Amino acid sequence: MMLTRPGITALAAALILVFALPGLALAQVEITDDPLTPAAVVALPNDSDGETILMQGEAIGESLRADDGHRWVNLLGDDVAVGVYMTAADAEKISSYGRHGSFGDSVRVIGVLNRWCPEHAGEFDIHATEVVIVSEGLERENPIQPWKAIVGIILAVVGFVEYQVFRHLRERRPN
Amino acid sequence: MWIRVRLADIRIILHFVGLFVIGIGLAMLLPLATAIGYSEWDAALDYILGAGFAFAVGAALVLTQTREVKLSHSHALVLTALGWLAASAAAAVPLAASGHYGSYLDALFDALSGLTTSGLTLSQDLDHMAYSHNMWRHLLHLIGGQGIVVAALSLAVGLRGGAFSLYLAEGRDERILPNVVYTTRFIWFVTAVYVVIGTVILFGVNTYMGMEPQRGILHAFWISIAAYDTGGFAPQSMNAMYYKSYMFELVSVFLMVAGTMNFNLHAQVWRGDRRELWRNMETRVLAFNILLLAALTAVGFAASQTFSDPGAAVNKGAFHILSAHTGTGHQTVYPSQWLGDFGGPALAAVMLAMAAGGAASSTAGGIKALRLGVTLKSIVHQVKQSLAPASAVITTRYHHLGERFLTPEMTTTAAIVIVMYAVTYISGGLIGAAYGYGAGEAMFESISAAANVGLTAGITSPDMPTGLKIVYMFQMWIGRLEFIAALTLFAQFVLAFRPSKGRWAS
Repeated sequence: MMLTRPGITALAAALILVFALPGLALAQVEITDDPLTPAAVVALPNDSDGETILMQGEAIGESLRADDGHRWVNLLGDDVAVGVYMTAADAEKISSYGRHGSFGDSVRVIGVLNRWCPEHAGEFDIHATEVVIVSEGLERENPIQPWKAIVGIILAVVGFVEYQVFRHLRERRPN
Repeated sequence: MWIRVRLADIRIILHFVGLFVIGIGLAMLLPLATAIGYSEWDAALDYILGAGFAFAVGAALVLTQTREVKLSHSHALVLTALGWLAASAAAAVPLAASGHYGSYLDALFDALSGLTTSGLTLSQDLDHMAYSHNMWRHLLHLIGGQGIVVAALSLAVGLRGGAFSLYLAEGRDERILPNVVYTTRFIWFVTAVYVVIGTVILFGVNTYMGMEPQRGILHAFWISIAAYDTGGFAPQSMNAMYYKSYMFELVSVFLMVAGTMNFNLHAQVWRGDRRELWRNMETRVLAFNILLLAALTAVGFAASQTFSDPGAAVNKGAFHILSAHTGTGHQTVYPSQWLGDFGGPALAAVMLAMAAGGAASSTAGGIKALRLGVTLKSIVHQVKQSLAPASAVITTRYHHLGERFLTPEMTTTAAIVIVMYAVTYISGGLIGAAYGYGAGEAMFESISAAANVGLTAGITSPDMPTGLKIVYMFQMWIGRLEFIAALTLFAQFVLAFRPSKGRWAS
């Protein structure tokens, strides 16, 4: 079968649409771009499933075992956290996780967003293809406020005295 | 005849409310010990402040009645209704001081949500919260799950007479053992067994997943409490999504189901009568509902064309129906996904499961399977009676801890409570809609609050309107008390402003 010139043009356009444009789309996400927060990722419309995204957040808790060679790291931003599936080697780059006494490393990931991941029982997750530590975690200040102890102890003493008065009165007139 | 409250009655009630508040103060010693053990000195001061406040206020209330008194049934109802509020108000003090809440009202919301085992939360920056504060939040589930009255009765704290009235006022159906104090101790025993089993298994799971042992044991303990007491709090903002583990979900489902079973059924099985488990009407109603609604959820997921793996759809559907039906509220999807991704049948199925609730005399909320079963039986009874000759006497039996005959009183009581729950669910939904939220999410949140579930479609957050926070708090409180105690309190409040000839029976 001979292809005419218009036919060749149409075939070339189709090939570009099928192969080149998704490639361009992937190429559009760079680690240096403005990242989404985890809250913004969760708020994406449901047709975002399968898209490659750039997200940045604070690593919290700890990394959890996923399978041989992979870990789960939960990244927090704007009070929402999203689970990221990454290689154990990438997870080892993270030195600090957010807890009461510390802020975790700020981690930027490029990865595929799965709103209902077929590989992980329908979880909302991101499969990371690139992981970069933007900044290391810090110690979290939890200031001690002595007035709380002073007021608390005074109130406890007041309560103790009140209870002793109650016991005294009850002993004097039980019924 | 309406009986009017006297000053002496108020003093009696305040005296016992004071004892509850002191009890909450004593319970704060556990998070205080946790704070000291984990060197959380800032949080330790929050518990010194909270316990001091509870002791001072509680003891002042105790002083209002210095003679020994006996509680009447009316006292018990009002005391129970007020006791939950006063305990929540005291429990909120260390949370408000923690810096994780926008206001005292937000902390009170969480304290009430914890005690009523609802699980809705207004906490901020939960992922950086101290272990001691998480210990307190989950301990509130433990205290409230058994019932603060049960907690007091099990210690026989200063209660002279009226113990069984108090027990009933808290929404319990019948005593398990002849003595009500032994009954409440049995409830604690059953709870301890399940919480210990859950903690040991989840500790193993957490350690395998990579948690440090000292962190893994705390998470295991908290999740076991939250699941068994059908609470729904979790120490991380992602709730159950944080753990990424099938085994975690399996263990929490086991605990949720155990927690939603009637304590009387636990007692029967404990005595060796395992057949009761399968013959009991409540178990059958629960099993039927859960299977039906889980199937509907899976169909809904399929219709939404989200899950490509049918196994994942069934797994997610079953987990959330169990979480909703048992009144737990642990979730493995984001709140916004309910409407944004799933919608339709899945959303409806979860709302129906939340509304139905667990078994009577359990830690679960909602309408309860026993009432649903009795209502279904009475519908069948009515149809039979319509078809039978006029002279025929139709009797209907059901099995619940023995063979029982359906009586008009049972049918009426069940129907009244179902109607009251329905009115509460719909009213909360309408109020949410009036605040500008979508009808679906407003109804979802309202049912979740009134049935003490804790699943959220995203409305419950620190930024929600203050009025709606108060509405949900009211729903959590009245839903936990199953209306009668709360309505008695309102009636007495109204009657206090009306002339009357009577006085409370004592």
